[in-house]
Amino acid sequence: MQLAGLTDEHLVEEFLQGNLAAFEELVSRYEQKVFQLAYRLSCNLDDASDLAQEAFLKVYRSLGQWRGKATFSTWLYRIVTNTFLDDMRKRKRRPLVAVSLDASIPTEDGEVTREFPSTDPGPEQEYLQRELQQIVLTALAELEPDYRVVLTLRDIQGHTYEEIAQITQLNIGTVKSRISRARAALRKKLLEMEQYVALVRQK
Amino acid sequence: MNCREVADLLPLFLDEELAPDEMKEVSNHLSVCSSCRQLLAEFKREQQILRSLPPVAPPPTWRAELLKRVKNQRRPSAIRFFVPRLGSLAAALLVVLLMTNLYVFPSYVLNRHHGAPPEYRIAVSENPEVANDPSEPDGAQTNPETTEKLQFFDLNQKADDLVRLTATSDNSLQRRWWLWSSSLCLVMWLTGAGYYYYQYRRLQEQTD
Ligand SMILES: [Zn+2]
Repeated sequence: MQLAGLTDEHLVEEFLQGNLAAFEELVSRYEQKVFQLAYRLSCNLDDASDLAQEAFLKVYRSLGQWRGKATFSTWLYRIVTNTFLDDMRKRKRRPLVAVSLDASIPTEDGEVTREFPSTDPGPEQEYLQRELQQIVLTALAELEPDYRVVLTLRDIQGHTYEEIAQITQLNIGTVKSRISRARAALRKKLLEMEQYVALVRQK
Repeated sequence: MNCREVADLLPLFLDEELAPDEMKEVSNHLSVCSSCRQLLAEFKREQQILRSLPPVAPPPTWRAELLKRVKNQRRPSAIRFFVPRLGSLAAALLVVLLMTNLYVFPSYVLNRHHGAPPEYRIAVSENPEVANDPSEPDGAQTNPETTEKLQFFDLNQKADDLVRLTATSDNSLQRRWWLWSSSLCLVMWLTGAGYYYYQYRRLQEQTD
């Protein structure tokens, strides 16, 4: 059977009939997106690996209850964010460790490289961009988990407001006001960081 | 629309998620207000930085680890979730109940086949004054040498009175004990079941 040509829904059907390879195919379709979401939410490699695996395990255990209520991917991302928010509530007082500039991070090629590879032409421009990315990630890690979720879904994962509403199970009005407040909160955090203000002025 | 109102709308203006008339009002304001234009540029820059983050992929061993974890477990249904948990809980409570009963009433178990309450030994006196001593309830008397309680019966007493007497004392206490300990077990069982239900619901909510 050619699993690669099947839709997510058909793969789920296959899996429910006992075909484990169908589950593996689903994992290979979504592992990058899921891991990236987990990594940007939990801010470090160990927690992200755990969170992403935990989410897929929950999917594995409860695929039978899915029954096409949402699209498979929406449901999957919802499990990631719900699991994340649940973990955050459990360890309220333990703050996240933000990624450091020199943190190595696996890329799509399976190679472990530095978190911020070069993209820009000039080395100075590139350095500036990397510094800014680092500072914004630090500020993002300090936001309330609810804000971090919507900003990550919107700006890093690139979901539409409608998709975010389905993933978070909030109505669209709530999504709008939450994203709006999250942007304002991020900005407030950034303005408190002297390094950011200095870099932006320089630019 | 003043600058303060516009500032509140800019985060959504950025994504073109305002209502059409609001979009129009904000752009009108932006065309005449450079400080709000500046603010919009800053919001845009922050969004741009987030969008420019390099894509991230799981470490090389990640998928193999996941599949290993997957193979080590089975999919739970409500039955698979509750039956083993509640089954073991109930079994443990039952053992506790039986053990405490054996401990508190060992004599009951040992003596029940002889039909005599454990604290008493049935004695027979032909002297009715001894048998019906009013200072002791039910004609029970204590042997001062052995502190053993002796239960005297008037031989004229009817047979069914005798049966009733042997059935009371220890037995009523025993019945109360069973009632209390089993209600305690029931409460503990319900608490445990409630806890498991809470866990089960949480698992469901996260995946719902
Ligand atoms: Zn203005």
